[in-house]
Amino acid sequence: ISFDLEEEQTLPTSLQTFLCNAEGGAIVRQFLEQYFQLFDSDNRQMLLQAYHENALFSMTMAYPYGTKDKNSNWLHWYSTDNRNIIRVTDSERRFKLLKKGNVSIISFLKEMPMSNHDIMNFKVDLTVFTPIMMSLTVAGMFKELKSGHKQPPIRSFLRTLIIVPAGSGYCITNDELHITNATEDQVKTFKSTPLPPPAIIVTSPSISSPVAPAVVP
Amino acid sequence: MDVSLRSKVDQACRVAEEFTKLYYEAADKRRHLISRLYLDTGLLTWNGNGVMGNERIQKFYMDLPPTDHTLNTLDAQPILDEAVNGQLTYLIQVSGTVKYQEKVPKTFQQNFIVTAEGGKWKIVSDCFRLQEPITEKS
Repeated sequence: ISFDLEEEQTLPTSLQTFLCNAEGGAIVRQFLEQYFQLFDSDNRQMLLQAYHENALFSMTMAYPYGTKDKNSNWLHWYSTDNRNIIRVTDSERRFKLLKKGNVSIISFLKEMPMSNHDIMNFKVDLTVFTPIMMSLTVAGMFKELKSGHKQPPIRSFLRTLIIVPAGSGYCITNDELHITNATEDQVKTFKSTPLPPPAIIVTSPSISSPVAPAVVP
Repeated sequence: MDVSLRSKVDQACRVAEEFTKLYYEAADKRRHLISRLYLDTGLLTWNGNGVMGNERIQKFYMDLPPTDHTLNTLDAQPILDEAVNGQLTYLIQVSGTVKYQEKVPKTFQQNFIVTAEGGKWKIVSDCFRLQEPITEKS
């Protein structure tokens, strides 16, 4: 016999997508597809137009709880720019680790290891959608390529983007990225998304248009 | 160097430190007060489940199993004026572990948009995700 208070409570079921505004769904889908196609290409320079000229970017990294593969799937590359303000307490360093402006953001993104994102498995939350701004959270996985590992590691990430209208498209004003290793359960569900041929990216009208930063709705 | 940006960044970090301390303490130990941290129209998305309004969010929290959060990383930025009409607003992102009812900790990531209203910092949006695959497609 036990007491009623000890009854097991269950967690709500997780859902893949939350859209605070149904209209925003199509814009978000297109924005993410274009952004990650370019991010996974060998020409991340093209993302320059996806960022506001004064945009801010920062990154944190950590190993997930209980993982034993720190030796093989080390995250060293990400630790240099890890802006974890729990550890980084010096205000000068906190400021320095923040990438300020689209040019410095792109030069950092270009240094990051090559990637192949599993777009089909993205979890997407659109939490603000107003005429002046959108707040978008993407969680998912990517395969890290050509970074000196015997087996390309599968990383897990969560990224928060603040997006504003610009010209006939949109651009990112704030970008916070968290990178960690995918857990065994996550790795089982990973699917490689084949990259489109580069020609498609280059000729995409919304990217080459000077007024449309990344997406034309 | 941009002096005003520098001071905004400093403040964003300080607010993030103070805010997360209060937030996770409320989530773990004082859930009956958690609605006070949100705007009346605040939004919580918990693993893709949207809960709109501070009263409903509190109810949602009261129904969750007991939690114990530990933070591993914290990051904060001031949101650019263009996006928020110049109103002081911060983007805060967190990662850590959460134990539900003394079970094995789960890794989570979470972000907050926090804005100044009536002399208090209030949550506009709170987005929580456990780091695990979705089993049922929505």
